[in-house]
Amino acid sequence: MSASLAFILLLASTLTLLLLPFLPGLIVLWRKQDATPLRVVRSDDVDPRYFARRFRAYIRTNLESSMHGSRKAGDRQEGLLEGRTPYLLVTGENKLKLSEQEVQEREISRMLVSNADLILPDDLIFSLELFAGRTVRGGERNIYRAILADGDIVIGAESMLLRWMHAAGNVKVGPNSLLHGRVSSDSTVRLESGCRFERLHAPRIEFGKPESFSWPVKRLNPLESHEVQNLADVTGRRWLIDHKSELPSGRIVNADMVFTGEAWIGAGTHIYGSVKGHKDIFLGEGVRIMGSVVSVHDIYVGASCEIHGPVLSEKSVNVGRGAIIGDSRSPTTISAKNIYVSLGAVAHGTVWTRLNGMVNGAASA
Amino acid sequence: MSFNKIIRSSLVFILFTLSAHAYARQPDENIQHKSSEYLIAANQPDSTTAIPYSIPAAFEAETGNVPHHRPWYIKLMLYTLYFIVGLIVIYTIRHYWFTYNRLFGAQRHPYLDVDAADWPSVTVLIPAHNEEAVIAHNLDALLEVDYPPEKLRLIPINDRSTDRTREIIDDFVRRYPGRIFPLHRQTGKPGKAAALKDATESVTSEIVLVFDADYIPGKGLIKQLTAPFFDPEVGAVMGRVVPLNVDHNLLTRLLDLERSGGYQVDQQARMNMHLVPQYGGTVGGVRMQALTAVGGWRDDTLAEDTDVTYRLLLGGWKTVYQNRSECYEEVPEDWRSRVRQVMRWASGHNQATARYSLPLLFNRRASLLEKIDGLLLLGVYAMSPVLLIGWMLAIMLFFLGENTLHGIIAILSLTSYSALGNFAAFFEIGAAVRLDGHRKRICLLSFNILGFLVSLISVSRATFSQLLTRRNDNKLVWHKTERFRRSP
Repeated sequence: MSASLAFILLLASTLTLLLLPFLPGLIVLWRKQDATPLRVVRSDDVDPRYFARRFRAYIRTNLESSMHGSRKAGDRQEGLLEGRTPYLLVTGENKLKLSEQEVQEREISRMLVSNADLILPDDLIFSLELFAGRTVRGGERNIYRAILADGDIVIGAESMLLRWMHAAGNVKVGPNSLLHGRVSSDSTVRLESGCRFERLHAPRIEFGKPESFSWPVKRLNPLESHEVQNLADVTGRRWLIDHKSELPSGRIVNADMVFTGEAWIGAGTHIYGSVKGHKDIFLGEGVRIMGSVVSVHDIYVGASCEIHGPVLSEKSVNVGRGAIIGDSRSPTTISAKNIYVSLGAVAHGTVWTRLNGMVNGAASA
Repeated sequence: MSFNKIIRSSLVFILFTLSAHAYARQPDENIQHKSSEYLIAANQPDSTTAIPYSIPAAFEAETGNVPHHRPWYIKLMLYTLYFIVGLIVIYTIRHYWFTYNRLFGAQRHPYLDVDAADWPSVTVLIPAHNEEAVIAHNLDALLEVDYPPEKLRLIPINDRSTDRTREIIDDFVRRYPGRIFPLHRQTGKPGKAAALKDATESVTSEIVLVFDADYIPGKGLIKQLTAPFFDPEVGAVMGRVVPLNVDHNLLTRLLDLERSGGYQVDQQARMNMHLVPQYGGTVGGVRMQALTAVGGWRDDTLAEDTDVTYRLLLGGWKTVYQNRSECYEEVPEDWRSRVRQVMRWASGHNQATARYSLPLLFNRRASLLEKIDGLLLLGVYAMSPVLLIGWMLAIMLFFLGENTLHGIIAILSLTSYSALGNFAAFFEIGAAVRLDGHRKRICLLSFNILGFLVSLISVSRATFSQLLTRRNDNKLVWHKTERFRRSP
């Protein structure tokens, strides 16, 4: 082999090795592959009622005429919808009649649609969606994929929801039920004791029977900044407090407060501002906070507290009995990895847990 | 001093160094080289064939523990190089730390789920200078957002536009009465910072959000960006910028990758680790109370975003990053615009570095981690010229016969490649692309070396110019990126 040939071969192989990593990129560039912009999250994606709205549109498109056509009460219609989804449409007052196979297998693999009430027996699996023009009344120990009702939804004890549930009326969930996904209502959601949940959204969310317990009203003295332990800095209406600090009971605070340590707010104290904690926040009984409560760690909301703004924790929120979060005129959000709520508490707006939500306590009467 | 002059000066310096060293190597005047020669000669089977002074000889001299006295300028160069290598290693670790945190660490999105609340009043400022191509899209999108209209005020700031920007804004004002309150500036200091400062004087809301005129916010974005302000410690919030014109050419695709790395990994990792996410001047906002407490917008700064990030940090306020609060932007489509953009960012950032490094170091409120990250973030643009100097020093020392450096040169090569050339920064981009769920565009990763080199030169050029001409406080004018969208 001549020296010049060797040189050319060496040069060619070097260039090949150098350019080889660029080859896939050149192909992607030339063919304009994977060149669409990243999809930006729209507001609908975080709307708790998003799936319910989409399902309603689906029903309207596919079954509206059948539901409101000149059909007699008790009529049944079966068939396939778009995407080859099997359905069973029942009209008028109707107690669900199942096929033999469904009775044997205890599983209904059809979408159930009714223009009136749907009354469902116990111990069934509904592997497709349910829709009722009025009320859905489910038995105990059922498993549902998704439910939409123009009236109320009542599901029995120890039921399980896999994806979502929305009612134009009230939602009532029996004790010890497990609710994956989203539960929403245009009116009230009520969960009984032992229920576990992920995302709840309604103007009013009750955890068991609401307890009306008002903290004794007495004259409250203002708390001045110099009375606060470990106060490090005051900037405008924001107080920065280093380390652990405990606010006395029965005082009025007109400031936003940031605690770098544990924060203890004494019983009955009213804060006209927000509270932030880098560690745990403990709110005594009857504390009222007009702003938000935010913590990097846990938040403990004492009995009969009132919080008007969002309650946000990066770990867990524990809500005591009789506590009220948000109000009917300005709903708010509770968000945390874990949320534990005692019976008798009420929230207005959204309760959104990333891991586990649970209603504590014995079943209410 | 122009960039060409800098290059010429550098070459003169190199030549001077080489000449000085050649003079210093004269046998009668340089004992240490004689000792090297002696050792080499002694080690050769036939001492008459010994090479007087060569690279392998010096290597052996070094490994043979012969005392090796260096002239002062060699020592200076050597220790400078050690320092640079140290810095680069730190930045390499930082890149890997962020990427691993993003891939395997706990992710923080504490404000993302707030969808119901008594929302605070918000003013959206839209600084605009000759934005006829894009301003209508921006206003259309802002008028459609999901936010209580009575609590949302839009203020387009038309600063001396000479195109149809004013006409377009006034048309919107007529069509949407009570929603848009424009500010047409004809006097005062020009530039974004000055425009924001003027407009903020009339703001009465609790929160101010800022969008550049080419941004197209989604429906839920205002709520998402406002939600963190329920935390009373939050002074500023930053959303994620997503390029819209990705498919235009190689540059737009590289910028898309770069933005992914910067936001999806870098900013989110800082958020995860309670470090210093940066307010980026658009798709973000500030709390008026915090802004007022730290002295408002400064109109003598080239980067009001970095400036306000650090003043808030010094004042005990936090900046948070919302990775899911995304907004489309238009990235530069030609290299000339890109170079100008990078140089502008570098100048502004370096100005903030000069102003806030020491105050941050001695600040009482910032945590140790915030101080470390804050200082590294301040120094990020300075690393380009530092890396260039490092390369130059390594090459010069090599040819000056300082082969004791062979290890350091290897480390420098490896770490500079890792930190800024390939593994670390590119690893960050690769991880970001994966997190975004893209499949094919990761193939373009190798082309990033091109973007890297352009940025390296542009940033170095801006930094050297700034150092040599003290351009910190000059020319507060509108430096805007050329728009490529067509006006409606």
